[in-house]
Amino acid sequence: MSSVARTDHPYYRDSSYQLFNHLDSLIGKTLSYLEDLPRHPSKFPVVQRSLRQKLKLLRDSWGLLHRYIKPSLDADALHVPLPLLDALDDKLKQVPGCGSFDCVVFQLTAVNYAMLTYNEVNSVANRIARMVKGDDFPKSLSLVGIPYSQSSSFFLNCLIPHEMAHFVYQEVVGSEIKSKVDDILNAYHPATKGTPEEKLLLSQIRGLLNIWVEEIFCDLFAISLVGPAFSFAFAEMTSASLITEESAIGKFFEFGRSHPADVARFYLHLRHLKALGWWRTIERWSCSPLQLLKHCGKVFGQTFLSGEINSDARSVFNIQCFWDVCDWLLEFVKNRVPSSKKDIECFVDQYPVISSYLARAIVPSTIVTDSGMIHPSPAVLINAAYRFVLEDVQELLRNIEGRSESSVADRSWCTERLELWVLKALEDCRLLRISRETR
Amino acid sequence: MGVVCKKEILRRLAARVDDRKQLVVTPLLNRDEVFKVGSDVDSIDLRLGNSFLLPRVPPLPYTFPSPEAASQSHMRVLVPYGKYLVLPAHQTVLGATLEFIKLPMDLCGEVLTKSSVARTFIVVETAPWIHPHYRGCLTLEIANVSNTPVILYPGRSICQLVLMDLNKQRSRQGKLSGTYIAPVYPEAPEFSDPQKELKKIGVPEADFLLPGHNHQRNARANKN
Repeated sequence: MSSVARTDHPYYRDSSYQLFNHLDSLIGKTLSYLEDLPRHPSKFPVVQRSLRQKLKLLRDSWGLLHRYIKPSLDADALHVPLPLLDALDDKLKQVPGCGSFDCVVFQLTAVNYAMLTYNEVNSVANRIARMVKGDDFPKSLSLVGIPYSQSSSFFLNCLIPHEMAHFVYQEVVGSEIKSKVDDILNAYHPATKGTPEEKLLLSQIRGLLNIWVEEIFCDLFAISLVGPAFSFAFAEMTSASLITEESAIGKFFEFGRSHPADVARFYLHLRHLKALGWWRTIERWSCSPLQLLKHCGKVFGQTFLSGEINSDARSVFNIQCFWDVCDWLLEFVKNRVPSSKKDIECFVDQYPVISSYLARAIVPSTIVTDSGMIHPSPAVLINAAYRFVLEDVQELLRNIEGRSESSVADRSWCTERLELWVLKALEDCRLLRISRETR
Repeated sequence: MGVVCKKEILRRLAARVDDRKQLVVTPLLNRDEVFKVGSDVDSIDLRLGNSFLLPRVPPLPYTFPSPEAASQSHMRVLVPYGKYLVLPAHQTVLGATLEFIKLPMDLCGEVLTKSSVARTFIVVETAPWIHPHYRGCLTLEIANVSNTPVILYPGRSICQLVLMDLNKQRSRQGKLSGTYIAPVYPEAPEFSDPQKELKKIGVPEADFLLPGHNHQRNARANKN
C-alpha cells in the first residue's frame, strides 16, 4: 500500500492518506496473523474447519475492501476538485457535531455520486481488524464516490455535499430523525394494533420512509451548506437522465424503493431555499433549473408509489405521512446548520462585481466593491459561478475573439475555463484566510 | 516608458473592474509585508504556484512541434503547499505564479528571477515579457542550471514583477485573444501543424522535411 500511495507523487488529501495508512497497518497485521498460523493442519477436523472458515472470511473481506482501493488511489489531488472539497470540508466542520469529519473521495465508473454506507467499508475493515487484532476504522472518515468523468471539474461536483450529508445522517442525526419518523408513522399507522402480517407491512413502510427521509435530509443539508448551487447541479444531473432514458420522465414522479420522487425533492428544495432566504435572491433568474424548481412547486402532488414496491404496502401507505416528516425535517435542518444569512447578503452585494470579473476572464478571489477590497466566501463564489454559467456566460464569450455565443463547442470551452477560475478563486480565498489567521 | 512605483501599483489595485487602469494581482498573501515602508519600491514579489508540468521523454528522440506535442511532452504534477518538488541538476520544469495577474492596456511588465533564487542557479523565466491586457497566472519556465538538485517549495517567493508605463499610449481595450486565455496553471505549448504554417508563407509541401526522413528520397517520391 505504502509503495502505491507514495508521499511524493501523486499527492492525496490528508483524509486519503488516513485511509491508506489504516489499510497499510491492517495489511501488516493480516500478514503477521497469517505467518503465525500453525504450519501443519490440525488433527482435529473441527479446529481445521473453523480455521478454514476464518481464512475464507478474511479473504472475502479483503476482496470487498479491494473494490475501493484502486478507485481511492485514482482520486489523487489532480483528479478531484481539491479547492471545492477543501471548502466543503471547512463548511462541514462548522456544523455542530461534525468538527472532526473528514471525507475520502474515490472514483466511480458509473455516472453517479455515492457515499459508502457503514457496512461497505467500515464494518468490513473492522471485521478484519477483529480477526487480526488491528485497529478500528477511523470513526470520522467517510468515503464519497464521484464519477471518473467529473474528476477535477466544478459544477456537477456541487453534488458532493449531499453525499457528505449521508455520513452526517449516519453518525450524528440519524437516530433523532428515525425516532421522529416513528412518531409520525405511529400517528397514521399505530404499531400496537394489527396482525403480525400487518406489523411486517408496517416495518416495510417504515424502512421505505426512512430511506426517503434520509435522501431528503441530505438534499436539505447540502443546500444549507452550498446554497442553490446544489439544486442546480441536481437539476443538471436529473435533466441528463431525462434526456438519455425514456423511462426517466415517468420516474420523475415516482417514489421508488431507494429514492423519493425527484419532483418531491425539487419541491422541498424550493421550500428550503425559501426558508433560508435564498429564494428572494434567485426567484427572478430565468435559467432552466429555476423554472424546473418553480414547476415542481406546482406539480409535486402528482407523485405516486412505484410498482416495484410491495402492492400491500402501496395500498396501505398514506403518503401524507412523508410530507409531515418533511415539514418537521425542513425546520430541523434549518436549525442544525449555521445560518446562510451572511452569505446571501454578500451574494446580493457581490454578484454584479464577480460576474464582471468573470466576464473579463479575471479570477475573482480579490474583488473591489464600494466597501473596498473583498475576498468572497466559498458559498458566494460557488453560487456566483453557477449563476454566471447559467445566465451570463455570453458576456464572457462576447469578450473573446473568435468565440460565438451560439457555438456549443465555444460554450463548453468557456465552462471549462470558468471551472478553472472558480476553483482557483476558492483556493486563493482559503490561502488568504489561513494566512490571515496565522498572522 | 517608466517603471511603475508601489504607490501607483497600490492605487491601481484598488481600482474597480470597469476602470481602464485597473491592475489585478491576486491573492496577495502577506499584503502588509508587500507594501510596507522599506520594501522594494519598484517591484512586487510573486510566489511559486503548486501546479507543474514535468517534461516527459517524448515517444520520438526529439520534440516535434505538432498539435500532438501538448499531450505528449509533459506530465502534470500538483504539489500541495508545504510539500516540495525536486528539480534535478540541468533539468527544467514548467511552473506558474501563485498570483493571477491582469494588466491594463497602458502597462506592460517583466518577470525577473529573485536575486536570492538566482544565486542557486535557478533561472525562472526565458520569456519574461508581459504584454498589456494580459491576464493569467504567469507560466514560469524554470531551469536548474546548477550541478546539484534544487528543492522548490510552492508558495515561496520566486520572482519579481516589474511594471512599466506605456507613457501616452492610449490603445483601445480590445477583445481577449491568444492561445492561452487567463491560464491558472502552467499550460503545455500548443503548436499548429508546422507543414500548414509554412505553406501559408509559400513553402511547398514537397519541400517540407519531416525529422528522420531522407530529404532526397522525399523529393523524389513527391516528383513521381
